[in-house]
Amino acid sequence: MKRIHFLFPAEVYHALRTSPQGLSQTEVNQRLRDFGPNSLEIKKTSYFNKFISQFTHFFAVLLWIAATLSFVGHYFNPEEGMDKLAYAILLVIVINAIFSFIQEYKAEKAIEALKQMLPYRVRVLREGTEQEILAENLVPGDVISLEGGNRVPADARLVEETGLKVNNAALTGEAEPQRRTAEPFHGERILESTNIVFAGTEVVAGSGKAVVFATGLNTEFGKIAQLTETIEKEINPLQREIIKVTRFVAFLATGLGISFFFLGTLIGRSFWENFLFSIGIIVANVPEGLLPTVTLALAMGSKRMAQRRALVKSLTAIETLGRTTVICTDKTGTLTQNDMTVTHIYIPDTTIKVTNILKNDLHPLKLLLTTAALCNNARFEGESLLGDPTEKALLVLTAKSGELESLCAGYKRIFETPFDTERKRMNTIYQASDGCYFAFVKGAIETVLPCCKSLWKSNKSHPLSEDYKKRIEEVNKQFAQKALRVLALAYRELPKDFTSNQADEELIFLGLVGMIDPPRSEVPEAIKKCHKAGIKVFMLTGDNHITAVAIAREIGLAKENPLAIDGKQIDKMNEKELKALLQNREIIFARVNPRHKMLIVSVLQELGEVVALTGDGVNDAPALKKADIGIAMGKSGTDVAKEAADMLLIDDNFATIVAAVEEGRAVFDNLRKFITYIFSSNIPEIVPYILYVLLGIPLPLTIMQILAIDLGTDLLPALALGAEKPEPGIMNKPPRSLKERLLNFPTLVRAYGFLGPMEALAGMAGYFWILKQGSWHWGKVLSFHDPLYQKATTMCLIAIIITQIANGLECRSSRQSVFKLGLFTNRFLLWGIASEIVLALLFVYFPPMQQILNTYGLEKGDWLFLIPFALLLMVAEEMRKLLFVKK
Amino acid sequence: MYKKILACIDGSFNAEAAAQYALDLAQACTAECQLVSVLEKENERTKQILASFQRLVHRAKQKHINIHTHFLYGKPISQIQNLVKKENIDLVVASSRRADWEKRFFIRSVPQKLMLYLPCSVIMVRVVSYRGGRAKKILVPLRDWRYYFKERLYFLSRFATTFATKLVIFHIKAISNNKSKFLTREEITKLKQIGKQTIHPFTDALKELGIKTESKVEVSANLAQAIIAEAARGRYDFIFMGAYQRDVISRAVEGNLVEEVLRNTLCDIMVWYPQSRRLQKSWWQKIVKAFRK
Repeated sequence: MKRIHFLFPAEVYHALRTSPQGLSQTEVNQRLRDFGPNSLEIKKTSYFNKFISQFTHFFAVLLWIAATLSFVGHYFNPEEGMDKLAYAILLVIVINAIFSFIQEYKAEKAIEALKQMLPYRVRVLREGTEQEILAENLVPGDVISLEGGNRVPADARLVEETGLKVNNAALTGEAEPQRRTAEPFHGERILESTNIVFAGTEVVAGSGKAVVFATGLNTEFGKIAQLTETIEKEINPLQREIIKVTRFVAFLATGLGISFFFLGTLIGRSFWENFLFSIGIIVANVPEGLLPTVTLALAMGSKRMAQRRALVKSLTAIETLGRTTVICTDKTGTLTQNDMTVTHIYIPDTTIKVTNILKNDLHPLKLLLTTAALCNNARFEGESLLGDPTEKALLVLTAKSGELESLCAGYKRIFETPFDTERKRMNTIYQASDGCYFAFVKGAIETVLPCCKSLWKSNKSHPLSEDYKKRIEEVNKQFAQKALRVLALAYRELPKDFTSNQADEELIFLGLVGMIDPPRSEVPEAIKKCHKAGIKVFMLTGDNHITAVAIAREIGLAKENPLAIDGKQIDKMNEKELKALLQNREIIFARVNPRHKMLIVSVLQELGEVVALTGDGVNDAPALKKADIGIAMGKSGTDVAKEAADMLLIDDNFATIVAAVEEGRAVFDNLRKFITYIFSSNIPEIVPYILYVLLGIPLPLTIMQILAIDLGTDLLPALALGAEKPEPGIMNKPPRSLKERLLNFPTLVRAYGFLGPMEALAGMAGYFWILKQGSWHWGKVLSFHDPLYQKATTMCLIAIIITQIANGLECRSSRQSVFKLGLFTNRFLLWGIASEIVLALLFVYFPPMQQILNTYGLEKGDWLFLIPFALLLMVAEEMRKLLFVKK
Repeated sequence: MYKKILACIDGSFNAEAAAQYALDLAQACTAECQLVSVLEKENERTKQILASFQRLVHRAKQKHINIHTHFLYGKPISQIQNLVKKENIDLVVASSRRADWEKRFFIRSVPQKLMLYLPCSVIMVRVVSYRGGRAKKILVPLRDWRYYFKERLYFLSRFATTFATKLVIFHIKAISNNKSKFLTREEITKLKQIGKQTIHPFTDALKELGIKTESKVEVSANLAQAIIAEAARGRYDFIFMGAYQRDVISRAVEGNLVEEVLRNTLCDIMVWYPQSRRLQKSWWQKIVKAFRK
């Protein structure tokens, strides 16, 4: 039995027990049971294991230790009631775990739902009928059809092909398209075989039929996927920041706890007092809601992006978007509407405006219109027109003349050399009703004109002189200056024994068509926003530089004399020159191919830029993967580009990228807001303990009351801060540097040095106010259930809650006044504040809560005493923003 | 050693692909090959089975292999058992499918039952894709060279000699998950050297027979994953590994390496259950036996 690539096509069917009509459904079901689905899904962590992991991360471990110590403390000293604390801590762990798990589960489901929106389907022959099925239902023996733009769904042996070329970059790294045939290959290495197409690679041109012989993880690509799964994934910068924050907090909490334990011992306090105190410090400092808030902030960011027509495939890509410094964008379809219309035609010595086409004598245009219609794969299907926008424009042009049917009548297509980005032209060969053969060619003028030997004028062919060539190029330039995309059309009659090469030789030049693709109306504003935000925008287009510059001027991307670089110029540059070039702020890259895109992205990254790149073609996939943010077109993008990208633009609009960048910046800011809010409340929770140890006063705030704040009143407002919309002016500052920390010195100073002490002042003021009213004096011991003591601790608790309400409003922005933002513009925060108030009232007046938290009902006057502290905090923070924040 | 080889067919593509391996083995061992198919009753698969028989007989004749076919009705295990005893079969080759290994470990599939109840050596073949041609490179995971040395040497040497196949003897130094995170490069190198010593008598014996042999050692906490990763990396035509019968308790406690590799293999695999294995007892059976004494 020979190797699969040694066999002739007929032998392939036999070896795989299939036929040119494909497999029967019974056989398919049998093979699906035997070989499994064609998917690269590597075994993922089960949801159960993911839930369990919520109990074993760093914070959870700290809390487990605290709970264990509390139980131990209760065992040796039951009177202290430390079992209640232990149960409360366990409750914290469970609530946190459930909440985090729900957030992660929702986020994962959202991403899976995104994938479901883009099902991957393939055309397969079964029981003699061609059907479209999900790629995962392929089995060995299936006969699949392949076309340009398709991703190869499984390892398959070609049995038929027409000009098939594949890009094996995903497997071999070779970006040059490789020609594939159905002939036997006698080399040993299957990867070098010329008759095998591999799963995960892309069909660049042509078409073919192949028989699948390996599916899923058993393909070459699957093996690589399986192997790479064993490599640990690199942590995203945001994840790294979160880990740093959690470690900092954990060490701070543990360090403080241990330090004050020894300090208390030195002062002479009992072991159990110090023990209780240490656990309290640890619990007070651990921000239990941090991890679920990170997930929520990212999830809210991605939801807002989806509303703004951008689908993000991974949550952490949102944060990377916020750091973008360069956007490399396509022109056609992204900056423009991709709605091509032919506006001008040039036939030798005459330029015609298409709006008047029917007013002209169509006779001189006949051949040009025939070429436009026949060198074309667009087609009418009922009312709609399907195909590439450029080809649709050409077909519409011919249809407008009213002669479409008559011009195309009697022609039968024999052969096609499809358009590709390297050759930049397409030709088709037809046989006319009289038996003669004709080649029709269209493409970029610089690739078509050199193939022409003559031109068509006044109904006959004339030699194409150098002088005429110059005239044609001049017209081309005029069209391009009008921002038109220009195509040259040519044709020739072929001899009966023609070869396909002759379709590109001795052509007769017919004329030029100029078509306009108008810019999108939102783009100029979006470009302005980018420039204000310090983001460079580079245009990368396959079009000529004159058209590119004209469009760039129209949308405000370039000034009078922008730097326009051709792909050929890039080819001649060395790395140093390219690096110097890319430091310019405005560059238009014209006539670039995917290889140039990849090079530009790589060099920009070496210069320290964070690069967002758009792409839609199969060959854009490597560059999309290389870029920090790969952006594929949701409408016009190929499967391959969408798969490689981090983000999809549902409407293919450049303005959506800018909106996504804005949301990305907001995510990082929101995380910082949350951290400031949570860390602020640590100070008023620690200060009572410090004073309790140092001054010998009754403990102003119990551990249960601390948990009531951290897990009760603080949680919802903190989450609401994570869902804050982008601040006005967020796009008026430069992109954040990678060195900028989530928890930086200004944030720490603001939380621990400014907001926190004000809250601590409120707490202690309230506490001593009640004690004074109850005639307490220094040294007087108050029992745990003494109403005076209960009321005093209640005042401390409520003071912290009230000042946290004010803090929550002020944390909405570190720079802008909350009155400028609008007090009622974050309705989640309003609900959070409402919940804080309701909980505070429950803590104070609801008997079961009074028992758990050891609280006592407050009078109206007590509440009124505390409110000015909240106002004081707001005033102080507003003054800080007014006086000390740089505008 | 193997004079008569029996291949089990059920009309499926997989079983026929596995039977191709049986023909290759018969050619390597200059043995007679017999094909058997057992149906509980006549059904639509009969035609497929007969077509499979035809193709395999044709191929056997091209290779000048003496071949016979048996089409039986009844319970598969007992029919095959009877045939093995009647014909003095030395080796049975059966195909194993994906569905067999997705079952829970205490529910045995037909191939697994064949391994347990037949009085001869059994090879279970799992075919994961079609590549065709002769096997050029085989991965042979080996725990200890002393296990079933003669039979394993015979089998591999005949196969490799006939088809000019290269054998890669793969040994894994098993370590704990925790330890694997803290090993230094020097420690890994030392462990690999010890590993090579473990298998060198077997590789030397193969080299003496003129067979292209290479030895590889890996240090890993997860044996199955190490085998699968090596098979993917090295582009082997198939894996040849020995099976050991484990009862339910042992499997519950220690897991089953062979099942895990079978489930996740990225190339064809032959699981070999030698006849002499049946005399071995599991660890807890030894403990029970000791108590009884």
